[in-house]
Amino acid sequence: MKTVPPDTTQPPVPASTSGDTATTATPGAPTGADADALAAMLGIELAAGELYRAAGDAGATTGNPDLFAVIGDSHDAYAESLAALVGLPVSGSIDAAFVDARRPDFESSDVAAVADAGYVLESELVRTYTELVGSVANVDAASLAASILIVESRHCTIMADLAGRGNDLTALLDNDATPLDVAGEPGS
Amino acid sequence: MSNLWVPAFSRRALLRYGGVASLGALVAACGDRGGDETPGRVGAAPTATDRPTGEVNDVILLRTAQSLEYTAIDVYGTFEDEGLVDAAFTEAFAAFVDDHQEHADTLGGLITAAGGDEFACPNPWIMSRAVGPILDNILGDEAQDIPVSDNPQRDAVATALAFENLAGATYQALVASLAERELRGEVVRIAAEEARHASVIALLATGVPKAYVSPVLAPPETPETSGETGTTTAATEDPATAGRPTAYVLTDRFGSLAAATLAVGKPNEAGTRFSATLETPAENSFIYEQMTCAAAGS
Repeated sequence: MKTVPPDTTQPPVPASTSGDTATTATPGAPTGADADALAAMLGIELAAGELYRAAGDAGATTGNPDLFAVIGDSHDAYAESLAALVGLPVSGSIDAAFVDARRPDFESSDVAAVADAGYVLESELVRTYTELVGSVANVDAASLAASILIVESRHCTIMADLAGRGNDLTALLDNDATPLDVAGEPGS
Repeated sequence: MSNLWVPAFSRRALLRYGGVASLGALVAACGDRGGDETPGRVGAAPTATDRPTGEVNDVILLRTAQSLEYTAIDVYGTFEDEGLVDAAFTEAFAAFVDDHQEHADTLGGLITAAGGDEFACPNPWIMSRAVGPILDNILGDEAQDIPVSDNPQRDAVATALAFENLAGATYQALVASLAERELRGEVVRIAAEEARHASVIALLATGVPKAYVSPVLAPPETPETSGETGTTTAATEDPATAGRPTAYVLTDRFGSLAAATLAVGKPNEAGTRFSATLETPAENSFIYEQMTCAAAGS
């Protein structure tokens, strides 16, 4: 069977248009607390991309292709999708405080050390998105968050291996991170 | 490993005879020519059935998801029973089975809390339409003139990977379908775990760092020094992973809901192998509220 390269640039279209199941989803763009939470995630995704670039600039590379660059680009793509959903510009939306707090962990030529920091970051992102999926009223927001976290979950496994824990199934499989504190109360 | 679904005899026999009702209908149709006006059927294709009807609600979706967990447990169990688990995957597969049971138990609680009944057994439609043919082509089937696979362990790994990816995609798709937002959070947690299962399989199958990212997602910046283009060649194959399928942790930037094709079995004279298309559950494979494990033959 012929293999068609996947369209990797856009999130999948949510199934909410199937019409086969009843839903209490809120239509339209996210508003209120949902929008605040997604805006916070936008800032953090931009920060994540910046942190992986800082690692690259410090000399931490994983070969060809460079995994930190690939994952950093993915975080930029997530930020663009979040920005489009909530109607915010990407430029100027980065969470600078988040970058400043974590930069020392990423600004290193030590691949394992950067992977350790990446493991923590990706794990926290997955847990945060998981909470969001269970709390936002907007189904498109929930679907986008799901499509992001399922790949960031894979980032976790890669980071565990890069950090030298490739033989530790617990590190490869489990996520006991604490969700990030994003703005807004759930459900509006 | 605990499994609430206990087969009366071997899993493979159940897969073969699970369609006994369909075969019985075929025999009856070939009997008294004067009485039965059902059109005759040729071959071993399952009897066509009307697509189930009814509102698809959260209980049905959760029961379907639970059936997938038991399907995964059954598939891994067959691999173990038939000696198909490469030593490198033993610990991981055992951990996956434990996780799938935990997922099934979690879903059981959610189903009950939503007022439904658990479906604590494999998905009958997927077992008959996908798992059965896949296993036949891995293990061989004399009755269907299907030879044993040229590399059953390779195919077991590829099948496990395909089902873990399918499971992750299924839960991701459920997020948009479930009415209760709390349930979305519950199922997406499981999606993340299935994605990590698939990631571990890719790491073990392909080796690191090659397994990290697909060249389709992130092409190398310079051409391979071997001068070859496209996919892996034998000249660059790692002996430690020889004979295993090539798989990658990262194949897309966003979680994909697209159907996946799984190729298993011994190549035929034309060089092609049996292929199965795996898609997230839809109307034919939903576990509707009137369905029971007993009625499904489990």
